[in-house]
Amino acid sequence: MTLAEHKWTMVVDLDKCTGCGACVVACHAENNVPIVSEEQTIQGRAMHWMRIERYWEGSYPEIKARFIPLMCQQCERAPCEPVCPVYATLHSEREHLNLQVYNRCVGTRYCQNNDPYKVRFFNFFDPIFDEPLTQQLNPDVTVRSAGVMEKCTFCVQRIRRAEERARLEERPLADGEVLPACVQTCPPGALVFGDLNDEASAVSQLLSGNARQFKLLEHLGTEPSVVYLKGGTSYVST
Amino acid sequence: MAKISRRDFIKMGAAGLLATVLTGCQNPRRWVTLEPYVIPPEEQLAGVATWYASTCRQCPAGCGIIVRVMNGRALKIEGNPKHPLNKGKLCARGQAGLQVLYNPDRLPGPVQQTERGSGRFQPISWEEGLNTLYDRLRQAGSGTAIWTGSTTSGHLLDLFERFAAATGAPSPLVFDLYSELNGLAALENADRAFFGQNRLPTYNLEQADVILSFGADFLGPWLSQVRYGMAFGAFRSQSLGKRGYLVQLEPRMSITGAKADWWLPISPGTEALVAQALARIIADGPLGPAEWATKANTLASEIDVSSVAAASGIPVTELEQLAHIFAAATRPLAIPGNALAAQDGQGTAIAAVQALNAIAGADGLALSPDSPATSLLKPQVSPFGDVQALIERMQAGDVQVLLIHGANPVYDLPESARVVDALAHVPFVVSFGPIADETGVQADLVLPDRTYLESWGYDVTSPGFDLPAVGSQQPVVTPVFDAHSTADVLLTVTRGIPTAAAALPWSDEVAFLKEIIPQLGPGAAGGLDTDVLWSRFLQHGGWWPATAPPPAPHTPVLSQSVQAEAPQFQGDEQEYPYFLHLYMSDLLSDGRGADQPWLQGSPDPMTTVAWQTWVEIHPQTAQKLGVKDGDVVHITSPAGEIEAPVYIYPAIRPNTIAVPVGQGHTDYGRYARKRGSNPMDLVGTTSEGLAWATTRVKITPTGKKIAQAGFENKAGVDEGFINEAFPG
Amino acid sequence: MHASRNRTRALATIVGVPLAILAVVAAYFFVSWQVQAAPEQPAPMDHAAMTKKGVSCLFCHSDALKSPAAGIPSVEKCMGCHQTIKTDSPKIEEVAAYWHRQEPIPWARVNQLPRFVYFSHRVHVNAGLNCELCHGDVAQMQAAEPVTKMNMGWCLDCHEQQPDAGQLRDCVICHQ
Repeated sequence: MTLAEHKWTMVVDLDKCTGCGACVVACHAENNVPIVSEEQTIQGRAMHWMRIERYWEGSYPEIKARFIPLMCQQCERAPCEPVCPVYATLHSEREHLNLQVYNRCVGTRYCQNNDPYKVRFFNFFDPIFDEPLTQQLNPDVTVRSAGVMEKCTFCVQRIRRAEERARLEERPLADGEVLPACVQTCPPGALVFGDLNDEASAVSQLLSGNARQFKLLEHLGTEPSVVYLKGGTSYVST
Repeated sequence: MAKISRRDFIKMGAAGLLATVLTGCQNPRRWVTLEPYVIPPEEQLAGVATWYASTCRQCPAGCGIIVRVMNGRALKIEGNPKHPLNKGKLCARGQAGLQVLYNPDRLPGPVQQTERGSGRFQPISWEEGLNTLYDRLRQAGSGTAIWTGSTTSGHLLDLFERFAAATGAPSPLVFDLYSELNGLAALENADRAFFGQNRLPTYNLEQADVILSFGADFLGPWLSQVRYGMAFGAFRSQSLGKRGYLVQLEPRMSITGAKADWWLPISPGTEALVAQALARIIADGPLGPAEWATKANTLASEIDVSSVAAASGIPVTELEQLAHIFAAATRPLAIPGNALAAQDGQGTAIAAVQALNAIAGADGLALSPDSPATSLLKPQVSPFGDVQALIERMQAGDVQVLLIHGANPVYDLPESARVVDALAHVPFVVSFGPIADETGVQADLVLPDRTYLESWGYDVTSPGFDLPAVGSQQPVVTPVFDAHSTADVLLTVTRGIPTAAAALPWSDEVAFLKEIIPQLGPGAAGGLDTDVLWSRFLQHGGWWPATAPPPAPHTPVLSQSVQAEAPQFQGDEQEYPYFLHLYMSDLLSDGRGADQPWLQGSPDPMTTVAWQTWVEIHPQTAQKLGVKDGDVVHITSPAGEIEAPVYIYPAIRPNTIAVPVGQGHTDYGRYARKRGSNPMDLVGTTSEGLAWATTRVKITPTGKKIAQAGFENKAGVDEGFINEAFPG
Repeated sequence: MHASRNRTRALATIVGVPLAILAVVAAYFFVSWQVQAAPEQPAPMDHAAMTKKGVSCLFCHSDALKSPAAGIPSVEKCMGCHQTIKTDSPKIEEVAAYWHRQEPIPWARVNQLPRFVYFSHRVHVNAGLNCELCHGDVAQMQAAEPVTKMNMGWCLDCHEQQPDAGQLRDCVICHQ
């Protein structure tokens, strides 16, 4: 049975994102992402595969705050890939994802340097999970050690498990069957995930003819797999 | 051949030995032990997870959860897609629940303490602990007091109530900082006054087209964060491309304020005044459809709009604009926020906002419909007056035994409430907390309860929405530590107390639950037999009816106008020039999240700071004070003083400062301890409650500076550089 | 003076030391390249004897068909047969002792893939591969022993021969 090629795409509706941070914590829980200490956070070494960026616009009292959930954009032409000397970060032609192979990484951090979105995180130390927090670690995801780079994978372990199940049941993957942890938990439904190759999928429907869509740093030519939808305007009579 | 010297020989030998040893070295993880089950659970596959349904207890909302369990370990929590409240979604704190279960600082078993406050706990056996509790309760008779929190399970509260009634002790108190900062007691009172029901109000956000939120941070930890988050998503994408319009009126931009279409920085304490001014403008117009006129004339109070403009800092033109927007909407909704609940005369303040809803026909308000679930007990939050009464009883020596479950009053309440003082007059204090928090450290005996993922129970969903629901709780793993369920502890020790034993005849909590839950009858899951009803209750994560009951009539019962005054603030304006704005941290909530590293280490949504406390100050004010980001300042109120580093925050009134609640723990585990400051130390008590929304402070720079643990980089922000990366 | 001896010593050092280091490194790689010997097991389970009696792999390692992990049979499963079969054998008595103590048998792991690799038994078993392909002729083994090194090259050798080799050589298949 030939496996379909999936163009995994995440759509982020900035109008709906409330900045609550559920996605941030869900990602930590699903992917064994360590929490660093206060001192390390001060040094800029906090590791949040998914983060909410808050931008201010204007000045008081006409001030606005904008939330942008930011995770690895899974670029089709990723700047982080060609610079790895040991081929630890590479592109999956099958899933159209940017992969990080942990055991190959030697920690040059060139990929983090080249990444314009700054969504790659380096393990400066061996992550410490005080017992019995180790019981919570997800066995489907490698626990990284010091010297290894890591980043959002669109919960590739969930993608693979779903594909495996679908293969065993001899059926194609259904839309909405694969949900990364962040997408699954988002209360306002700001995150939508799916296969852009499938015309009937939610992401395809959401994006077709949508004037609100844009990609981050599009002018760099990275071709991200994450599409953002601009905030809207309400028209009220006064 | 050259002769080899002894030194060389030894060197070569050592090298050879090293070589031999090295080649023999193996990766120590090569030899791994595989331990199979002795008796496996039925239908368990190795490497395939089982999902168990339960209810989250990180806040009183009671979202349904499902927990991924593999080989007896809980790996991930998700929202329960079947639960009518959250429909598969979950907030950050719900996701962090696994760190409550597997927290390294949980007490491994029951302990006793001979010197209160020392933290030197001596481990004891459960037999000893139970016997001690039994002796004390038997002697105390009616001199027992019970203090529970807003997340204490419904069934445990029920048992506590029965116990108290049987022994002649007063009803248990339900009070913690979460319920206080959310204004839950005031909202429940208001609900009773307006709608005749004793529940938390429900707001139909998704159907409204214009929302006027008077300081209600409904996208934050207020009332029901997940459900309101979902409703907000629907509010923004209504049918035919309609997008709801949100106005937020508050002195400091919360995350709800960040999502507002129009954010109005009103002066603290003027929410009710503004609401009355809007009603006045609508009545005077007259604005809105014809059917509004009568109600507007009756309910609008006599108030001078321009004086409200002066007091609130909103120009008259903007107030008029607001009134027009509200009146022109088809389904407008006004939401009274928690700051209103914290003022003296809170009932009147809330009524002033509800008047707008009454004028508009209150389509945005929905009552939790009646159902079999109404018969089950849901903690009704105690007003602060009850808390003060208990503290006075303790002070007077009327309380022999104090039982504390699900609350941390020593941390929650400010020094002005004198809790520690009162505890000193109670001969025996028992805490049921799984971790030694500030209150546990003042206890004589700690009988740790199991955490919610290891517990049985039920939770009546409140606020309820279209489908009334009762969430179920079941252990998803075998208990990690030697903790026992408090309900079982109570049932065990009361067996020897004749009055109580008659009132609590169950052998254990499961027997109690199995008697209560089937009385709900078949819900959406069906079933008739008691055993089937019980197992469906557990399997689906709760009980709810198959279809939504018809909505009850819902116009607030307001027959005349109210006259809300501006509240009195603690502290003289000259000496204390700034208003203090306290808010619950989105991640740490009222401080109970501080022991979970996922919550401590994740960035705060508005400031991106983790692990620390900060004080938000307007850029101009900071300039006037001569402070920059990271400079530590003293914040002093009439009631107390704290220190906090500055965070320059552009979306706050210049004469207001804001401090998040949640840090400043002295105990509660390694992640919480000795971190930041507790701003509740600044709060005084009034006749009606805690003055957390009506306190003035002064700021003094200390000259100290700390590095701020923020995720963002603030270079260039204060200089006003335009952010070119954000299009539109 | 001792110039010639010094020169010899210098030569010996320049050549000898790198050679020694190289030898150590080579020895290390040579040894880790070898397949490990069968580890010591706490109870003397005899795969050959079981197979001769007609017990199939999937009878005990039943999860291999439905789960990524093949699973080790529980003590209850062992006793399911052995509470009546061959109860007098001292080997069986050792197993029964664990059951009486209600303790799991601490088996030493025979085949261990590195932790950064994801391997799914059910995909391979459902694709028609039999157990002996990777685990060797277990029917001839008393104590289970590894037969191949199970390194990436070995996995890819087989993956490359499949009709959908293009998909199967993608890194995401195993590295998660």
